[in-house]
Amino acid sequence: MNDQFEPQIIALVCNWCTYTAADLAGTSRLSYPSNVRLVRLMCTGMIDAKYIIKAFLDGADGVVIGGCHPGDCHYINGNLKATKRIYGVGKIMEQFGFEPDRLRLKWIGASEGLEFQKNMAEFIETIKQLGPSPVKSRMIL
Amino acid sequence: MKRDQINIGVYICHCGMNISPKVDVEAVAEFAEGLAHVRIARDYKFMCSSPGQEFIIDDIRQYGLNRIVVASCSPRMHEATFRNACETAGINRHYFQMANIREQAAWVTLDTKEATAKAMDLVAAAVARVTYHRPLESREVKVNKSILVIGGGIAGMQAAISSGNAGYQVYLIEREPSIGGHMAKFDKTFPTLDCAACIMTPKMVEVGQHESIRLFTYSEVVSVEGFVGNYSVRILKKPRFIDESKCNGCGICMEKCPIKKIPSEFNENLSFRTAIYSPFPQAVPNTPVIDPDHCRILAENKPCGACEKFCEAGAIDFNQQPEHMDITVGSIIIATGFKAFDPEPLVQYGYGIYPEVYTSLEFERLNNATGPTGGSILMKGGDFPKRVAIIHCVGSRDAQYREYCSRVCCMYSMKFAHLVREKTGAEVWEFYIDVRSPGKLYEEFYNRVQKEGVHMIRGRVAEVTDILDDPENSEDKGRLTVVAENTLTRRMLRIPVDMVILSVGLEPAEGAGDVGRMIGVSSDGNGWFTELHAKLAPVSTVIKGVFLAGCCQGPKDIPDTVAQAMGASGEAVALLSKGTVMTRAEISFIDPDLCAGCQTCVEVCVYNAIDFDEGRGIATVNELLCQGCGSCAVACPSSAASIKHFTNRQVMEELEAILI
Amino acid sequence: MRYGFFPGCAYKTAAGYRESVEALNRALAIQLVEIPDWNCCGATAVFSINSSVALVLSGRLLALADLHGFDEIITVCNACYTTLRKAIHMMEHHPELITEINKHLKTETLQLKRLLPVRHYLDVLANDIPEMRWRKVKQSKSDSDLRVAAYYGCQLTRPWKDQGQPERPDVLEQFLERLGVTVIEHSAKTLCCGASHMIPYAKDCAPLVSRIIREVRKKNGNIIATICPMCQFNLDAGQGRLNIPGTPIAFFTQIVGLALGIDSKDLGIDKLLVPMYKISDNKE
Repeated sequence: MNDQFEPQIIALVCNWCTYTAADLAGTSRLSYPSNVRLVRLMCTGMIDAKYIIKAFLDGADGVVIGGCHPGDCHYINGNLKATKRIYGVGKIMEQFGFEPDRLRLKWIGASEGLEFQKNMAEFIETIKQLGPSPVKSRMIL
Repeated sequence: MKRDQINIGVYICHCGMNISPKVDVEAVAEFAEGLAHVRIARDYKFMCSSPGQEFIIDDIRQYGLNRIVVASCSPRMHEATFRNACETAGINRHYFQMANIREQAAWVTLDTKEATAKAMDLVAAAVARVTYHRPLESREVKVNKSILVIGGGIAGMQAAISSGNAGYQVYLIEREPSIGGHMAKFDKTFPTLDCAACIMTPKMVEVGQHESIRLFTYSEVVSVEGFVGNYSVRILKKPRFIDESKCNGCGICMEKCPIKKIPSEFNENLSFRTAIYSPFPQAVPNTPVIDPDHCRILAENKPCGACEKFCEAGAIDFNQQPEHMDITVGSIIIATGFKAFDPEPLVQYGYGIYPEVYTSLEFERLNNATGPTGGSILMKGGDFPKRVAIIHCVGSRDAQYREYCSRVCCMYSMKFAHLVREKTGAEVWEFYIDVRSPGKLYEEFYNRVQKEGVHMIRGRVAEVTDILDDPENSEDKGRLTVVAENTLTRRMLRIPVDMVILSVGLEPAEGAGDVGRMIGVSSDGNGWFTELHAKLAPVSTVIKGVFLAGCCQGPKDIPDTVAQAMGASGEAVALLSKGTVMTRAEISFIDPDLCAGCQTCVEVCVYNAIDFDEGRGIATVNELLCQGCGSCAVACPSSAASIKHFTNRQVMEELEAILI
Repeated sequence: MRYGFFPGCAYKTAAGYRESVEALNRALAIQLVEIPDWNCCGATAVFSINSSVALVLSGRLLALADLHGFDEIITVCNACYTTLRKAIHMMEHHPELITEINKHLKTETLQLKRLLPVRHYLDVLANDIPEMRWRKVKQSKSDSDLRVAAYYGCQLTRPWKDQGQPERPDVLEQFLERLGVTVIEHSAKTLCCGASHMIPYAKDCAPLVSRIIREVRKKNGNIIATICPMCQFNLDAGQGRLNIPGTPIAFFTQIVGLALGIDSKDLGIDKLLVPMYKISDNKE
């Protein structure tokens, strides 16, 4: 069963760095598995914990958050605020039986199309190893 | 919201052959047609082309569409194009959402089925999101076409001249009696050895005479309020006790003043000035000031009035009071400069203990034609030094004081070495950690100085002491010994010298922090003002309309300072030249009914864009300052704050549509 | 006032240090209680060879002092001071070292539970004794013709910065002046005395001693006050090789004793190699 498991991945990315990197991956025709869906936000600093929890509750098997490298944030330090928040969400998820690896924070700069491709492929692989999100089996009930 | 009124039009772009063979566009259009509120869904070869846009415009009019989704390329490419089309057709430009099926599906997915499925998800997400879009407006705000420049050193002067030349009214504020700053104290400038006064004084005169520059010397900024385009600034004009309109700068008052033994700040206390004084002969304006702490009348209330008696113009006015002036400007350029590091805490170098230990600024004056010795490099006793030591990195690159490199010291130290060799023929020993000479003609200058016979010793000096190794040697009598390790030969050196120059580093100017707080510009740990972006916005700050020039942002040499001043001026002029600024539409909104007044948002906002309204007990957003980063929205514990066009609802709907 | 006292190896044999410290303790009612079973601090030597062994030496001392109910450790030697200070600094910044140290201390059933502050006896005299007591003890106005050069050596002030200015300190001068002692300003306060190199490399150390003595004489000092047994020994004994008029090298406690009017015999002043009467000898 797990051989055919195709995870659903949500990528919450900032407009200035990681979204641009995704565009660059596109224009450079760097293919990666189609499981990942991008949601564009202006900054990782505007990512509410609710978004992450919502994504998991709605069945995402993994959530990756992509922003500017520390020091490069378009809004000075939104990415640093995000770091703290996402660390907190990770801790909470763990307590509810989620593998912490299902949530990942990555700094992918605007020029790093290749990094984007690599990271997405690698994250999808990680989630495949972990198997479907525990929410899914419960939802069958 | 009345859902039944929502009519969405979805347009799937083939992008020539870029999307269509990989993504089955017809299937996506068919899929879109089945989504809630979708009135019409079509595919077309080039949506961004004129006929493509016309297509949308016609549909909006014909079918009463009020939401548009275009599934094509990245919004970074064509979002503005389609938003304009929406506006042309008469619906709000924010009733639009783009699904990026080219960069995110067609170009990066190998399998056609998978690409089509992904495109469908992205379209569904865009449709769900656009359902909850709200109409947003930007506002045009008029700006005041004038510029305030704080600080009258070379940075502020250049910023004022460049802005004034562009035809803008400039207010230049300088707290000292004259403009000129540190550069006015220098004799020569590296590496070309231009005479500083020769290149500086014409600029000072230009500032003084410029029709667009209003100069406030001996003045300080006491408060700044407002926002880009409309800053209200209060200036304190300290009393000069001289009527500037009457004074003709003849200087007789200074000649006649009986109080003659006040250490001259301009000459780094190496000479004396009178109580009524002009800091230096080329001062601009050429109006003296009376020092109220030393004047016999003002300080001691004793009879004198010598200056008054001899002033033919009748310009002396002992009753002058501090004055406040209020101005309104559209933009502010901060050019508060630096102060030289005070080496006294480094007692091992003997500054303040041994008279022949000088700071670099003192040496600049000693070497200056208008300085205390008329430009002769003389020791306190009046003799020429025979051997001079120059110690680099005093206060800089030192974890106990300032960790950073002050950037200019290596070069000015080598300039000193050259001048000492040239003027006195004395032996020069320079003690450095590393020689840093990156700049046009800088390395060449380093080579030149070495060829001139300067001893370059790589080693940090341990101490400067009056203990001589060989007290019997008459040649060394009265000399100081510089103790250091030559780290290249691993030998300890004890060099007897006549004079020691401490190449002190640069620190932010006194009071720079106050200016920053007044305006809302933050500083780094060392007190230098923080630019908006280290690489791409080096003269801007987080406060829109406020720019940085010169050393207030970090140590800089003169060419870099002038370049940055011109840059800051260019940015200020660019901002004001249009006459108006647009407010952003996608900014924070704080719902007054939900706000509990906790002020968490005020704290997290890096742009100082949120004010607390004491009267209503709620936070309010300044739409000119807000950049829409969303920090407040996430931090708000009562969900009163949200970012327009990135509301929780909009994002959550998008997520749900993708996943379920 | 009761303090845990760590005498260190050189205290009891140093020329009059013990006598003068004990005289002052009696006069000023200071209780220096020797930490039972104290050990060598290891000085700089052990640290330079094996810092984990050195840390155990310091850790044992701290544990012993704590075990016997002391709140502070008082040293009279710069080397002891800086060695303990360094060990504490390392333990504060790397708490895992304490666990390591305790593994070794366990064999003696000792345990290091807290890091007691280490202070120099100079600090105690200068800061802990109320002004009233000094006044009560000080018999008469001292009429001495001593012009004292304070000499700190290398290890008290640097790198700690807790005894005022580290490079050009003046705590001892300030303290002596309070007692009416005439002090002189000079540039040799923290120069190296040669330390333990004096034994194997006596010839190389001679210029170091000479530099200090000459500087003091140049600045018109006629006696040097030291705060460290090693410094005292090197400067006192080292003068024998030099062809310069002898300058007495006293412990600061001896100078303090004289200033208070304590009999020089009780201060062990007769033990100095360059005798005190040299001062009047050189007066002409």
